[in-house]
Amino acid sequence: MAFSDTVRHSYQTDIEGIRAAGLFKEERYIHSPQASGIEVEFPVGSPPRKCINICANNYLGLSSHPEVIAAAHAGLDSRGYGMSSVRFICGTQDIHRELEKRLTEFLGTEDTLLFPSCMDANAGFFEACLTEKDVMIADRLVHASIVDGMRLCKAMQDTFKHSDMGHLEEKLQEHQDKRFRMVITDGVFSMDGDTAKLDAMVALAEKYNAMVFLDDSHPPASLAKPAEARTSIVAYSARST
Amino acid sequence: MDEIGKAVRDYIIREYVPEGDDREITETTPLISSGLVDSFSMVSLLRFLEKKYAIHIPDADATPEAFDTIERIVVLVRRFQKAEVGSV
Repeated sequence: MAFSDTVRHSYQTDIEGIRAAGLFKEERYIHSPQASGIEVEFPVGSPPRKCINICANNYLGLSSHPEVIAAAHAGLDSRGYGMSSVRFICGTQDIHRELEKRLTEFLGTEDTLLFPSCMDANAGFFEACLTEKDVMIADRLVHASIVDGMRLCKAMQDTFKHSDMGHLEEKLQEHQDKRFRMVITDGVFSMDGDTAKLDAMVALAEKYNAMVFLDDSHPPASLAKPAEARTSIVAYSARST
Repeated sequence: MDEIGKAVRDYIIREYVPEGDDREITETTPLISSGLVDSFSMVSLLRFLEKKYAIHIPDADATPEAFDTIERIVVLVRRFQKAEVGSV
């Protein structure tokens, strides 16, 4: 990237301000597979030290599971490293569709569309599904990636006090003039670990003819009991068909 | 506090203050810089002001600084009320 000294100086000043505020994040280099026990080089240049890792989202230890690694090796050998294409041009393989079908069965949904990450899904979902005739009503503590995705969408934005079903109901009443209403929530809120009041939320959505968008990145035991953990959404889906 | 200030305060208490929280909201209470209202939820306050006072506040003027206290919000509302009258 070519930039002038003026631009460089401006960015360096910003970085110095971030450092001075104690907000500059130094990366920690992990010299081992992701696991509950890892070897970490920190500060940079120091010998790696063994640490207990309690800050990954590796809840079931799948990041380095031998079966996952073996499957990845098999996939590399049979299908190559990547498609060098977006999905809809020539980037969809049979194994994408097989995975989507298996996830659909596992999660009890109508269908599944894969994204590289939940952040990418949140960025792409709202603008694909809603227009300026609609409204998005989000819990105030939804993940930042949802906020970014909402900002990309032309639908009206509104929020309700965190987990306050009374306030949500007021918003749903207020926006009855919109074409579609979409209530947006995390399943488990990533900062404090509290869970959404899904049953109450779905009941309100039914009452006021609204959809519910659930970011379930941190599901509480849902991988062990998917049907029970998703009772509200599955039930909502069933009642709406 | 004038009528606009009272209306804004009542809205802020209703819209942003958690139930059971009896904090005092004055004309100079920091709203944005305190975290009570963030840039994400500020949009509903903007919409309330535009609807209640039949004004339009351009994005460039709807800044966290301009919305940080009731005092500043009242100044903003009066400014755009005059602008609306002037355009008639």
